[in-house]
Amino acid sequence: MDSARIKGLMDLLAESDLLELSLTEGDSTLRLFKQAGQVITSVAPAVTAAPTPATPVASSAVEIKASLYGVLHLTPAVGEAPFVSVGQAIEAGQTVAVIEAMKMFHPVKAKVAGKLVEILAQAGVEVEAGQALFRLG
Amino acid sequence: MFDKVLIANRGEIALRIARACHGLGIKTVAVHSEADRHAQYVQNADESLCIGPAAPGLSYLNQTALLFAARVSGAQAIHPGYGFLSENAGFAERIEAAGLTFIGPSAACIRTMGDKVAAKRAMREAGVPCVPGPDSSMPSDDASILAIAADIGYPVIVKAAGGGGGRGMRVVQAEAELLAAIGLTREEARLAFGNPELYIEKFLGHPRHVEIQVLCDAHGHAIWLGCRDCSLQRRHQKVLEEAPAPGIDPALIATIGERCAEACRRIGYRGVGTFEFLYEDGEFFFIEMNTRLQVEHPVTEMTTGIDIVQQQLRMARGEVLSVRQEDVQLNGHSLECRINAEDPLTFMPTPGLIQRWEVPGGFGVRVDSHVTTGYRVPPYYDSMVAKVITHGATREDAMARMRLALSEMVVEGISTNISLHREILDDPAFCAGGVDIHHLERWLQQRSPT
Repeated sequence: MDSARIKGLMDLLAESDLLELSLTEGDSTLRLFKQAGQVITSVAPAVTAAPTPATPVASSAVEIKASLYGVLHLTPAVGEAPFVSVGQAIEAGQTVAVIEAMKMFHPVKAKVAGKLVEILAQAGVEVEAGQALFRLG
Repeated sequence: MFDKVLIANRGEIALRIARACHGLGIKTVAVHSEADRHAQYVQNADESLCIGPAAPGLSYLNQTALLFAARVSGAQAIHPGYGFLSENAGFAERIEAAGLTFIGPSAACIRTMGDKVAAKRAMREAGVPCVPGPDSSMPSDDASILAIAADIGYPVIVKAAGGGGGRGMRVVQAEAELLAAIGLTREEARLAFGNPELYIEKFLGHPRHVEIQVLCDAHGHAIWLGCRDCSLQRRHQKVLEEAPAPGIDPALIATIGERCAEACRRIGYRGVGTFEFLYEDGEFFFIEMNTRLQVEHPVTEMTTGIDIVQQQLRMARGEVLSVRQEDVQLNGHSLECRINAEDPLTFMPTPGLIQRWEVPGGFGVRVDSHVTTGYRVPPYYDSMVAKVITHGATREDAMARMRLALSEMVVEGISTNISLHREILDDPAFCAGGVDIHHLERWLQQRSPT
């Protein structure tokens, strides 16, 4: 496919209301994507999180868990840098993620300080209440 | 005339619309996100189509997918329900441009009513009483703005023309705060609504929320179907509604209702709609019009005996309105409790698996809900899972039936606000009738945590 052809297809996609275009000709395949105009791109200000029970168990003290069932977001808004990344030092009370449930955004906060060792769930997936999301070392 | 309707919504209202369609012999196409695939109401439609992933922006708000689903299924009309795209003039235009019927008013009417300043002007011209304040956009110079507010008298409220539903507004108690408040609200309005235009109104301190339901055909006929009181609100979200509004002179309501119907005739309104008013010290003040079906429409259905959704479909089909104003008889009293998947004390949402679902029944009890035992309330959408509606010969009858209904209702697996409704039905002020829009929040602040 020559560049003029590709440019033409890009213009076609831009003008249409399609979000994705895939074209296979012979042994070459071209895939074009466009950002959805209606994707929710911002996160509402944090609301008060529900009181969470104390976690005296040693093993769970180093895990940060979901306080409710919802959709996990690891960035404050689409396209922005993540709240935290592996290897980073986390302070007690720091927001490490938000969980979206029914149009509301609930911050997930670290209860103790520590170094982030592992992120246990993927962004955009549903997480259950009590599910471990982060491991601190 | 269409005989197949695509329902561009989900949950209880999708089921409500499907029932109205089936009652008229109209076929239904349920569209759903991946998260709603297994819901019972989707299976009950004549056809169903998946329109995208769980996130509403990629499914229920995806206009292209909805139009494509209509084309693929052969649906000739689209019902938007409430929320989502129901008040989106551009969507209405695209549907009409595709040669399909949008079940609602014209795009021009949606657009006029969506601009709160234009709406206020249109209502003044039709003789509908409005909140004191100009029906033109705010001048740019400070002296003129201060003069307007002084003329109205403090406290005033600064509102965004593109706002509505309680968003984009700020109360100003004294002149010294006015210009700073305008600067802040303008910036918020620009960000939230893409429209920095503002207007100023008198701030009412203890109003009730009273609204008028209208029904109009495309041939110049318009009637009003009584009023509803939706004063019990939390964070501008209605919690419990009733019809009629208690303790207001029916003659006054009739005067306002007739002016609403006249406004509809003047602007060429088609379908169902609601005029929202603040009511204080015996006077009505128009605040905004909702150009769609509303959540609380059942209380009007119960007191008028008119199936509002069937009427809406018939009006969209181009039928002439067969109900005349003198045919509308208001009978008894009706209440609606919105049952939400939320903690009754903290109001945290509680999506999840419903392990047991027992709904009340009996004389004068109606439950509108898409939920069944084993249903998983998804975390992506609104938290309302049911509407419990009662009807009685008097307000006391309707309240007694509601107390009984709420005591019968059992939901296990998730928390709901049923217990909050039980407490409201025992609140002496609510039981006396006529509380203002701040009552519920005051009551919530005062109640002792249990």
